[in-house]
Amino acid sequence: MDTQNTQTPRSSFLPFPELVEAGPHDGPWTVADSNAQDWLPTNGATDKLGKKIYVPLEKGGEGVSLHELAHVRWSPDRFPRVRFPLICLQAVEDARINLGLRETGLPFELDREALAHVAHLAAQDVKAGHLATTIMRAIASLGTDAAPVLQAEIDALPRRAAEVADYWVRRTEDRLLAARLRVDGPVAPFRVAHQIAKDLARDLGRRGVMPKDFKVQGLGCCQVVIEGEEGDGFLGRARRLSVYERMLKRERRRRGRRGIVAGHMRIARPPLTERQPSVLRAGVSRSRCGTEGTRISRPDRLAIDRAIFSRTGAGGGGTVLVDTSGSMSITAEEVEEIVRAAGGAAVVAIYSGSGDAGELRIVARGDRRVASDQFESFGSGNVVDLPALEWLAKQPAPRFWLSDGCVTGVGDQGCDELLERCKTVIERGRIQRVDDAAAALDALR
Amino acid sequence: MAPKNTKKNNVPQPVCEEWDFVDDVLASWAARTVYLWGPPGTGKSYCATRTGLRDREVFSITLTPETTAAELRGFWIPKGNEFVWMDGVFIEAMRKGARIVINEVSHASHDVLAILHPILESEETARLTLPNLETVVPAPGFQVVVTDNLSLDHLSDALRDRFKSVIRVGRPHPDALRRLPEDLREAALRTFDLESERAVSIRGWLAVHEMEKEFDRPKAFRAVFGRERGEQLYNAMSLGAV
Repeated sequence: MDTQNTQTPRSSFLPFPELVEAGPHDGPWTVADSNAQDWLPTNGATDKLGKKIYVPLEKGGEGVSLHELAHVRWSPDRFPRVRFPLICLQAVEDARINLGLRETGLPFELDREALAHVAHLAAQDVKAGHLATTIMRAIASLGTDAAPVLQAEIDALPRRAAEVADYWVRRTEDRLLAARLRVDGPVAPFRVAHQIAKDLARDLGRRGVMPKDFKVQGLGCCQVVIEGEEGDGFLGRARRLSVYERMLKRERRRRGRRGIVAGHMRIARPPLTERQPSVLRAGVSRSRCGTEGTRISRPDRLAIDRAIFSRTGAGGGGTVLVDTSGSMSITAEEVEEIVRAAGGAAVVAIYSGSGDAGELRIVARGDRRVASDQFESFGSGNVVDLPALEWLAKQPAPRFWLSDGCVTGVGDQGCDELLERCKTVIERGRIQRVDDAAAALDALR
Repeated sequence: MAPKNTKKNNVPQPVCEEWDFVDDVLASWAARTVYLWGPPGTGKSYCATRTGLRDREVFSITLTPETTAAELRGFWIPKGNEFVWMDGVFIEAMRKGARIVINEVSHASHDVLAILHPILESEETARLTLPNLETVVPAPGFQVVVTDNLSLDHLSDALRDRFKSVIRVGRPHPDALRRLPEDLREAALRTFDLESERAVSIRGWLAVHEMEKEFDRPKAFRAVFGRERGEQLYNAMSLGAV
């Protein structure tokens, strides 16, 4: 059994909201790795109007993916304007769809790390005496395997507080289940969740336990608003991580439990409008067997495919991948020179990135290449070294990687785990690294 | 039905033709050279080898970088005390006036691309002189259908110019869809044109349908797509069916 996350490609964890959305299919969704989004309040988010879904693309994130798909399936495209803290509606909505998942036979189960994190946050809230926060968290966990954890925290509250919390958790579950039975569907109607949230907010407000600007760390995955955007009907706004959360992330990075993730790479194929002559002996010259020739070197193949003659041909293949990040200090003219020297090579591509994304651009293929203006670098950092190397490993051999060997991911930051993954790809893909343009030209000539 | 012109992320996409039109073009005597392209697993090779044949024989070849021109044109083989000429698949198709289907032309070596030039010429000028000095002219009915996932852009100007018909297909073939039950058919239509990391071709859905004859659905998905991806697809299908 594979227990190492590094061995399972990221693409295996990509969800399929297109298969879940109700109504006619009108185009693909954008799927992004929530681990690479610092601004998200939770590790999963859904934006139904923008058709974007953010989930952790790693082992253990399947439960979050399922939860977000349930939002795609059952949550409204946009929440109504409400006169009470939106987090109440988000918590009850989470309960509605989690109970729906349980009834459907697809329960939302968190992995051990996530369960421990939820328990930690709940214990923090109880210790600080945040009753409303504890109630929201317990309601949102209904139908999941975190519910008993939150119930244990409720039981640890002072008696009167525990009674209030217990009352609202049970009442929410009972009302949602009763409504589901009335409509004979997988989930209760959204209007029922809306009414429950309204009643909850009113009661907690009357008891004086609802803070004015009420937010709960780790809740609010649906109806996410991208920073800087606000539309009609959206009252929630994603917030930056707190000081504590940033410290926690740095600590995890230091201990290597999460590490830096590779950026999202886009492959660009600009038109190959210029012709370039095939350079004799470009790439690695190799001997080939054929059915015609003057030198018989493989008589054993007479009975197989009759390719008994061999001849040494000009290098007719190979792939060159050029890192054009700022650290390489490689100019557009040098890239063009490499492309010319590799004339006849299968593919030449350049890549760079910034932030959490990058681009790999194919600039030459065979005897054709792009216009000169396409050789300019488009990002100052690397960011996408790992997906670029994974792409290179699938291209025709021999494979050259022109780079200084430094690899980075999101935020142009590196880590040991990312470096090890890149090394594995290089080894398996038999990729040769060359340090600079001069070395690349020597290898190709 | 008019072809669909769609936009993905506000970028206009090439117009896709419907399969009825593709069948008509393939059956046409005038469409001597056809370039058929589109997403993988949509049925291009299937259609090219089965529809519009009009009693013609079909030869099919899938190109790789290692395919030599000799394989396609012909080669000498020893027979007794002498070497005799053996026609390759191109020459055989030309002599018989058959349809030759060439798959994955983007993987073709320069050797093979060079030999495509004279074969894709018009009826008046298409001919190939063999090493045995025989000149072969295509018989009436000879047709070349090239299929690929990429557009024509990756071919040289000269080769691009030689195709009388260029067709992009954007949906899986209806015959393939008819073999699927309704839920898998809908899933196939929603996933065949996703980005490459997530796209699921019709082959995958057909494989699931076949596997379901011996396994339950979760195991069928797991067998076809692997544990993690199979689980993602199965969960999404289950949730979508509710």
